[in-house]
Amino acid sequence: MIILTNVTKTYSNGDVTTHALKNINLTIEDGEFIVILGPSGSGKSTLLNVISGLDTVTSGEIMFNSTGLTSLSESEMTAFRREHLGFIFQQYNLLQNLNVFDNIQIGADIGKDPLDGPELLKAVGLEGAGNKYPHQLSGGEQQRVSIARSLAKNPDIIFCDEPTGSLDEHNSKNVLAMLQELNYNYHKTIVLITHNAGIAEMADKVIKMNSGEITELIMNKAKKSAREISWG
Amino acid sequence: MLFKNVLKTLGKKWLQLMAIGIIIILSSMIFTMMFYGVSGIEGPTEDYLDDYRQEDFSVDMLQVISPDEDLPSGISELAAEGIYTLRGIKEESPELFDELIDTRAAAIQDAFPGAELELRPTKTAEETIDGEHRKTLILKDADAINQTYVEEGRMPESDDEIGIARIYAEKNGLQLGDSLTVRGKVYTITGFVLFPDYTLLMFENMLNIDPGLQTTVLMTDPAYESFSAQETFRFAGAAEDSDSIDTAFDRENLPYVTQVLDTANNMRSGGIYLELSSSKTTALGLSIFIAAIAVIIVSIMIYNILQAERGQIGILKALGYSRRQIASPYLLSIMVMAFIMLAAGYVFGLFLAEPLRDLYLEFYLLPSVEISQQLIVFAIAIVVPFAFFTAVAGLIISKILSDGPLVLLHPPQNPSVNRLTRLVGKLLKNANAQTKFKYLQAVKSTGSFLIFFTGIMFSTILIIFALMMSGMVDRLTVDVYEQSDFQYQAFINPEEEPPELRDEDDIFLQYPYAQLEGEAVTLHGIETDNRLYHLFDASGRDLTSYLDDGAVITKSLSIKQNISTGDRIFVQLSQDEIELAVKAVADEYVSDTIYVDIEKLSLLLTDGERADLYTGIYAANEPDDEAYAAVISKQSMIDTAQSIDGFISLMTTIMIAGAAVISGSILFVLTSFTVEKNYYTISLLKVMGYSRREVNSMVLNSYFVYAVLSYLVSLPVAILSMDFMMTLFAEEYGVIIPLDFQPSYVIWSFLVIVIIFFVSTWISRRKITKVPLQEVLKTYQE
Repeated sequence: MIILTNVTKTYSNGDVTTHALKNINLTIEDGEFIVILGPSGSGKSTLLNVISGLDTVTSGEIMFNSTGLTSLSESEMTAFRREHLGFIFQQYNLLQNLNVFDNIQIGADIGKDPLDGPELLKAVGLEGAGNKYPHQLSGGEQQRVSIARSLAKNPDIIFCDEPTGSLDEHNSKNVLAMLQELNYNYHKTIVLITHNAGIAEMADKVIKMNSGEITELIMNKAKKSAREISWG
Repeated sequence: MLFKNVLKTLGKKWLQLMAIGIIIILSSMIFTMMFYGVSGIEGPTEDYLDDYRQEDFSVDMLQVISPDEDLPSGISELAAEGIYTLRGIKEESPELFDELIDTRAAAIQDAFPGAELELRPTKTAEETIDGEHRKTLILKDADAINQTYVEEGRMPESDDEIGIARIYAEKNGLQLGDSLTVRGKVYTITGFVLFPDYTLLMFENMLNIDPGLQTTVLMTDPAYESFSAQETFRFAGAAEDSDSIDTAFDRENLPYVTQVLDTANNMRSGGIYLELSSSKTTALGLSIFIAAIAVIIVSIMIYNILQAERGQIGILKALGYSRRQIASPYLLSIMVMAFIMLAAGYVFGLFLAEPLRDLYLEFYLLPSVEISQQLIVFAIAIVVPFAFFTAVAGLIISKILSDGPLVLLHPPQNPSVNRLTRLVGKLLKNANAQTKFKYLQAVKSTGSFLIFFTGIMFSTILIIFALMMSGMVDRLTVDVYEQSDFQYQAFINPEEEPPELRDEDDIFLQYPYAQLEGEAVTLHGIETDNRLYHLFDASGRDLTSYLDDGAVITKSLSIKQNISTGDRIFVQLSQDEIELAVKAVADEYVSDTIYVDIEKLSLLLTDGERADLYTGIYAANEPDDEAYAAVISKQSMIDTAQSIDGFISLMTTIMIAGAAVISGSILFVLTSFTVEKNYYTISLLKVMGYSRREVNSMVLNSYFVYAVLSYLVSLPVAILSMDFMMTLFAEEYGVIIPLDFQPSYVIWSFLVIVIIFFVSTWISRRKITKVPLQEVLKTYQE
């Protein structure tokens, strides 16, 4: 479980101070599928960054189970990310020199209890594509490799930053379905940020943000499968 | 505005630009320095050698009569009296000597029709003055071939006047009109002179030359003839209509000829030709190599900068800026930078050419003139590489700018992998992903990888060569002397009764007129149980007792004639041929000597009549100077040899520093490019949870492994190259360059490479640490 208490984040640029996050209080339960919605500049990426330890907070506290993330040193934070967190990005960020299997394996190499590479390939529907290089794959396939890589080290939480931002509807729904499967089958907590309000339909919890504040927190009682959500 | 933006971009890369600048400066500097340094000598040298009729070939001959040659009547009678050396005959009967020389000259001219011959007698004097071992080569003015060139002053005209080499005068603070004492006689220096057949003053094929301790001396004919010293005779030859002759000859017709040497293959007279041509080739080759590295690195840098600014360029194109408008600031910046660096290299090179020329003139006895700038050097050092930089930069810029605005704004995300990546990928098939990433990282760009690999190779070879050079002088001379227990070596005067021997002295018998496979060798007899002069092999094992059963040869002779322990050799003495079993090879490079037991040698030389001949002594205490023809102190010989050590050390340091600068610059530029190009990947790895150390290792340590690989490949290349060079010098010029490879050099050179690697990648490691985690969230580009 992750608990954010009075988290603020400000950026200073000379005389100008920008309040990217204002007094955020939030709880993320284990196994939840959370979607953070908001327009550009709303603070959703900053929120993801501070929760995942990619950025520091200006004030407030973030607790992961009993661990205070805000007090961790750089190397402790690295170890924390290594053990507990997985990431999926809009740009798939695959390593071009490595083939599909090795791209997944590079995620598994640092895990304490990594998942089996071939099994993951199968799980993301890329059986037989292990020896292909990223440039030989379509965008959707590359994002699936990226998902498999994030899952390979068997993290507790997977952060997804606009994972469908570069994909068409068909591929996007495939990717989202896969994330939903991770959530169901592997019991992973998913935190996903997006512009696309339709994706909120498949979340357990929807956090709407604007101007660095949580403007609405919606508990989704009737969540839909990825195939059923409206797109656009 | 655009120009300002480009300058700002380049300004952020000032360290990389500086490193590239060093490489560019080096390429232009080396060429300019070596070309002007060498050209400063070349022109006047060619004129001088032409005008003063340098010999086209030299005929070396036995300094004794041969039983197989046609002898003028009267010579045989002298031989029967034990006078069979040319020197002895000349002293006993100058007329008979002239007749003998005329006979030999006629026979040689028959063998080389049209050739012009002139006897070239020389005398060698060695003496220790104020603790310094000095050597003098005394000549008289030649008639037609190898005429004397008077650089300054005039020729000696009376018996107490001499001409000497300018460099010797400078090193000893002597001026025209000053006095110089040679073998106890005082002479007045009337001129600084040069001889075309001694462009390099070599004694017994030794390269350890100290211009301050040895000189050529010109005397008047009477002064020369009355000067008492070891005299050697050879013929200088001029070919009829070309510069060279076929040096092959029939040994049966010319049994007294030991060798006919073309000037181009004679280190003494023609070494300068090799030096001039090889220096020019080296200058050009080295400059092209370094310039090529610079051009490729600059290309990579421009490519990286433009790739990083694709978005900006795309927007400018979309706004309506023309390709020329966008390209101009980039191209102009590169052109200005390249020109400044090349010009700086030219100026440095010009500045350093003079000391380089003077360095040549320390060793080569040649006339000197001022260095004058030449348009061709300027063109090759600046204009040609500048044109290359401009053309390559222009090509890359125009290629990237040829894309439309949309393509520039949305670059292709997935570049394909090169062949090298596929190859290494296959080799690492069973490795884990981290290892694969690590080793594939450095080979991602074929061009960068090749520069890196050859850069390290070049540095390793330079470092190994420098290390192999160290201790060269010691190996040449000092080691031999230091292993021996004698302090003085004294030569008896053959014309006088030998002085009484002291109990503590050991005798030796030297016979310098023997021949082995047509080459002159010295037979050196010592007592197997002597106390002061022992023979040792490379590992320090005492070989003296081997003389009981056969001969011990010097390493120099072993290399030149490819003789090993266990071989049997056939040595030609004045009258007979003797067979000797080679029992060991002594670690001596000083001369081509065959050591034998002194009694056996004495018996051989006297047809079994005497077993007690000797020509000199080894002594622990200084012998009476008056009683011997020459007394040489061991310490003075060591000091003479070591005086050149400073020069060798300087060369070693320059080579290692040069290697460090070149490879360090390459490593720095390439690894910092690697970090820049992998900003997103580094950030990604950090985000995934890889520690700083792991990321450093994955991104940069592969370079280290490849550096080690390049180093390992370079080791045999370096050793084989040096071996080839040693053999070439030994076979072509009969000169031994005792470069020595010690196993410890592997460790030393490796340490130097490791230090260069870690120092030059230090900044890149710091850059990796600074890559922010959020970088991965930006638009990904690889």
